[in-house]
Amino acid sequence: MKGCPEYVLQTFGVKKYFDASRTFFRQAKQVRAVDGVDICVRHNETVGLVGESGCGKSTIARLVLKLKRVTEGKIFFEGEDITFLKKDELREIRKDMQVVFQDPYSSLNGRQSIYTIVSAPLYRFKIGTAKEKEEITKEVLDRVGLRPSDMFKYPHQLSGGQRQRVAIARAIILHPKFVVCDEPVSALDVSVRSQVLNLMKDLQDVFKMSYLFISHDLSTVYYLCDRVYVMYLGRIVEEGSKEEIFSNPLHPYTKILLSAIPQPVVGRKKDILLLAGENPSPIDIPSGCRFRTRCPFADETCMSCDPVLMEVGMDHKVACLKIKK
Amino acid sequence: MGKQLEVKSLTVGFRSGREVHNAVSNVTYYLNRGETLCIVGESGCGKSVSVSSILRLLPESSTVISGEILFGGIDLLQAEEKTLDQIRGDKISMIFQEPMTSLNPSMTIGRQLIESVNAHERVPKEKALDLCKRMLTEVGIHDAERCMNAYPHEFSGGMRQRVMIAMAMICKPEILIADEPTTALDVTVQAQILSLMRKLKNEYGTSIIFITHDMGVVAEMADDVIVMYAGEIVEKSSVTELFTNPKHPYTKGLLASLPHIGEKQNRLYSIEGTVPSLANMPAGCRFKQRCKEKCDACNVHPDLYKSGEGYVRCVLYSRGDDL
Amino acid sequence: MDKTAVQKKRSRENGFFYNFLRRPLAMFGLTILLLEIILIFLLPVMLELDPYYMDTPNVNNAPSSEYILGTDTLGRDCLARLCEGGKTSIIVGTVAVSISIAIGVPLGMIAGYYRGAAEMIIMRLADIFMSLPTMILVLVLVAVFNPSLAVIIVVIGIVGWTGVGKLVYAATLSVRNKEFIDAAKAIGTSDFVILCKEVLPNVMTPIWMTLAFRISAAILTESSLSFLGAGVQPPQPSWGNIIAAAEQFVVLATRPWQWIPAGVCLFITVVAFNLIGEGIRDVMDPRTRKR
Repeated sequence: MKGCPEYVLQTFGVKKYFDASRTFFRQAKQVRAVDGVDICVRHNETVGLVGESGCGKSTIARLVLKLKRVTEGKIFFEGEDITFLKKDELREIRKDMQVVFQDPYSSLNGRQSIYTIVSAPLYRFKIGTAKEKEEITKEVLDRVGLRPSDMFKYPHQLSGGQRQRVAIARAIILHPKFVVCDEPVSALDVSVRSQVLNLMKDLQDVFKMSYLFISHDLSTVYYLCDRVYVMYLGRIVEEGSKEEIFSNPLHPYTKILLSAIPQPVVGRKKDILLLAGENPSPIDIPSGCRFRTRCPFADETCMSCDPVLMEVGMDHKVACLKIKK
Repeated sequence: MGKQLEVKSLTVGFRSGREVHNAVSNVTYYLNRGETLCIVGESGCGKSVSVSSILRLLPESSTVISGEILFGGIDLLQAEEKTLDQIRGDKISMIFQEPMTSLNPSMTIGRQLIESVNAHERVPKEKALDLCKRMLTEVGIHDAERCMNAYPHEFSGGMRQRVMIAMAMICKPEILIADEPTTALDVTVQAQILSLMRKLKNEYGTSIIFITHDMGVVAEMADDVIVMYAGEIVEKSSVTELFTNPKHPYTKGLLASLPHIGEKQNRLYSIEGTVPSLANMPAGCRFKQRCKEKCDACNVHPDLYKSGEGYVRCVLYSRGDDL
Repeated sequence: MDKTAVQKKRSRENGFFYNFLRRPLAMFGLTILLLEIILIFLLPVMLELDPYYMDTPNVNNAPSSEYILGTDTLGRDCLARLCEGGKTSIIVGTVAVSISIAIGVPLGMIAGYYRGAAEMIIMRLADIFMSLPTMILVLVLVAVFNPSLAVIIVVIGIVGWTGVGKLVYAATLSVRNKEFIDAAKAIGTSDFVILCKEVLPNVMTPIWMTLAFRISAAILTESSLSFLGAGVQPPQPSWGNIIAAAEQFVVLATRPWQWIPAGVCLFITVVAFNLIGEGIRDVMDPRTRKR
């Protein structure tokens, strides 16, 4: 299998299993957090990965960033297989691949000054003299809308939005080609959220970066992303361009997800589809289609046959047995 | 209809060091029987404080400086602890954002439910058990029998919130206060809980005070809305009025900064700057530093002016209805 | 007051020393301790005291103008020996605790950060150490290696690592899953650098909080050892072996000047350290920082 250089990131059948509840007397059970996921991200594109808590979307972020080892499958970065690269071989790739986490309180080390945090990549890759490092840091802080004097502050002296700006500054200081954003705005207040979203969009225009934008909030995904993957219990159930997914959702789960978002519009007559039952645990994944236990349309075929993603239109794939071409 | 609960010029102070800052200043609102009042605002705007004072559940570091809260002819702020205990849970009950912290992890759900029944009236055990099971079924827990014997950690977040709602509703309270009950939940679970709350409201005629920061939830739940900013009410109106004709620049900004599905938006509107901290509250209008429509008159602290059906705290509306 | 002044004032009010200096009991402890240390080190120099000189004709003298605290059974100056013993105690306390920290912090961090086999081995080792009665363990070790000041310091230090290690281990566990660790890994930072720069500053708080208690415990252990005869060996004095002289009933009953001062000093030192320790803990833990 070979990667394609026109994609910044490609994953093929990536799986991540954890051992759960292993005790002295009990056999280990496997948590299938990510169970065969193909994702590709083109240059200068924003790809949304949507799903609810426990569906494995954050695990994907960590797999792609090579913070965790995949159980199975391949990951390509700009056409190069990085699945089994060692630490020092990853060095160059790390410059091009960065991350912004959800919680701006735990993603910044409270004991370090803003300068130390933001300039860390410069020190790690030994870029520039001390004076140049300071210049670069000032410039990037300015770029994300912080004052140069904030450099000497500590995270606890900043507000949530400012902290997230610091995290973004740290991510873009080396001008990476690809940034994984793991729920970067869900911990922020509404008025601050739009500031950060706009900032991310502006930065993308300037630096021509690609984003993998992981979120449970479909409205922000709609605003920011070009293409969307919908994830349920470790699998992609639907993928496609933003327009396709939002105007013509096919998978029952996507439909339910879309109808569940409370819209800030009053008097909208809508039929809210309610999801029945509880999320199955990734330890005991249902046989056949993994959504069948909660699917309003499930029948016997869904119990025995595990659906794969099928092309149903231009840039639109669905994994559901009920959807015919 | 009619005013069921009235909060009059409530001011609550927080001690920070030797200084006292007002977390909530001069908040006045009332709740109509059978209606849902949403209080919306960003973190630190005082929305939680303004309702936890109703049952006097404020944290230790805070004190009510002035105001009164009238419920059934009693001022809850002055009432004795004993009177208050009779009201808590029985007439007014509350659910919180994080259900796990409000459930006792070492007691079965059944025992906790029965305790909240017995706190207000002594009923025979079988009757209480029966009541609990019926309530659990009511909130959408199908396996009520098994649920009664389970411990809180065996449930998912959504199920725990259902249990909390069952516990809050078991004495059929007149008022339910919900402090961000769905913030910690997934969207699909949120939709379930919201529809459950609507159903219970219609069945029992309970009035709801619903605190949230999500304008989408407001649009779905509210009859009346209060928008809070920096410890003050900045706008008060019916839900239709608020979404079709927002008046305060802050409300307008909030609504404009939301991404809408199905609408092409190249840039989101954003309110510049950050909320002023309680310690450095600007004189005059508290929103003026971030306001696009500010003028000299904003240096004087504006009152809550009547405008149309609602109220706005902005000098632009100081001339009253003729706008 | 303008905004920056307010901010400055606020950040100062959050400062460690600002709050520490405003705790009367902790300050009292600190003053006493400093005074004691100054006296211990200055008095012998100023009064030209010699703890080993035996003034044979003047054995068991009661306090007088010549010997302020009298003389002991061998005619040595009690004040001189008290000061010399104090030096020993202070040195044992600080050096032994430094050794505990030097062993406990890295082991605790490694166990908490890597988990797995390292965690298993290190934490079980700590359990083994903790399950043995400290005093007996120290006695055995000292007996094996001959009691000298250096050996005693090292042994007390080694035995004390478990407490430090467990604290650091617990703190590391809560830090290792923070996202800033992942952020550091995402730029390819090595584990060693992550441990030193990201983890270490975040796990030291509980150590500073308990530092003073640890020092006072080490001083007490040394005194107990010396009292039992397994500690600092005569003629070198320590508060422990000075008090041990009171074993003889004659000394206990008729010559209080030979042992009471050492006992009082030991008591004052331990109390002072504990007061300081409580002060540090209260200031560092915002939950107990009340007014």
